[in-house]
Amino acid sequence: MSEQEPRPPAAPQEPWTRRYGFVLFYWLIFVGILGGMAAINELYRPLVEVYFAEWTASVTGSAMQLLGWGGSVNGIRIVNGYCNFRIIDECTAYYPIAIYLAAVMAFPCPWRNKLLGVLIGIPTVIAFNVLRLVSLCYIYKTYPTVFDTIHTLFMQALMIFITIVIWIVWVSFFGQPKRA
Amino acid sequence: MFSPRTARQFILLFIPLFAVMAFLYFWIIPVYEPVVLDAASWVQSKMDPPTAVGTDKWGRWKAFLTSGGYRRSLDVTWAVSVKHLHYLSIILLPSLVLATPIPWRKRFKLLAISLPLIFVAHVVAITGIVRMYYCLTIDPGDKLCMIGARICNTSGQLFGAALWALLTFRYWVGGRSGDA
Repeated sequence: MSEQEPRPPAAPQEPWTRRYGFVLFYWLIFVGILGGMAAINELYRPLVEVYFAEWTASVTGSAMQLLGWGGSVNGIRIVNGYCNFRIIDECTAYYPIAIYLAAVMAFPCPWRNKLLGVLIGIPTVIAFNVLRLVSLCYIYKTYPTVFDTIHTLFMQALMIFITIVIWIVWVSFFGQPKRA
Repeated sequence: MFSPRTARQFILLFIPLFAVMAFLYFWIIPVYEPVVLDAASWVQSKMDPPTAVGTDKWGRWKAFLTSGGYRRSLDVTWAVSVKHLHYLSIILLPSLVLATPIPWRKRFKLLAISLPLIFVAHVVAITGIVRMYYCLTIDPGDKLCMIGARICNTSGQLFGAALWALLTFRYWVGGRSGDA
């Protein structure tokens, strides 16, 4: 009968607070920023509903004109041969920006990298949102029967995914964690 | 820290997972929604005054006051698109969790944790939205209820990302795939 080697002593279990405490801490920062952004939108409605929505409509309208779709933009309304859209606050990139900003700010890395993430990431999120609106306008004209499903389900989910991807790309390149 | 390679893996895996979840969504919702609405109505029945939520013949959510053994319809209905925005995390969260570059056993473990959390979040959000709108019918200017309604309205979009961040943040910050 072979003699069994004595088992090495079990590694001491990390306390729960050490294992998960920091995750909870950063997650609370993340959720706090998200909640704060939602509260700002509610407390100062014109910020997103008027100014940001009008700006989004203007940029999207210009992109559509570049594609040769013509038409006009009047406040938050885009009218052309493909679609007749009213840009409401949920059509803007405000909430994807909120998710991205919260994720960048909550990630434990140097402030310089966070600033870089904000400066590069937010315009990228906005650009993808404009692309989403242009695609929706095209779908509205060419596939009207599936427009609602694509608008409310796929495009919203896709926009959140794109936001997460932009964050992950930032983490991969610039998010050097403070905690190894 | 995750490398650009792992980020690429995440993106490439998310796309087919998202497509599968989006396909399954239309089978899941008819079974899942009555359970969520019943649970939300049960929670609201414990509140003062008791309220409930159901669907009308077009599938839109409708809120009721249920005090005194009778049901009185509140003047609030939510469009079908609002409902789909609330349930967005059913598509998003499993796809995100399963695409996260950690060992598969851990992905399934996180998925098993996330599914009941999605359910609880939907019950809380639907309960929240009904209560906030009830509060606004009493006092249309109540800022806290307006913020609450806004947060509940956007929870479907924000919650999937927030929950995924909570469940997987440790792996991103820890920076060691599968370790931790």
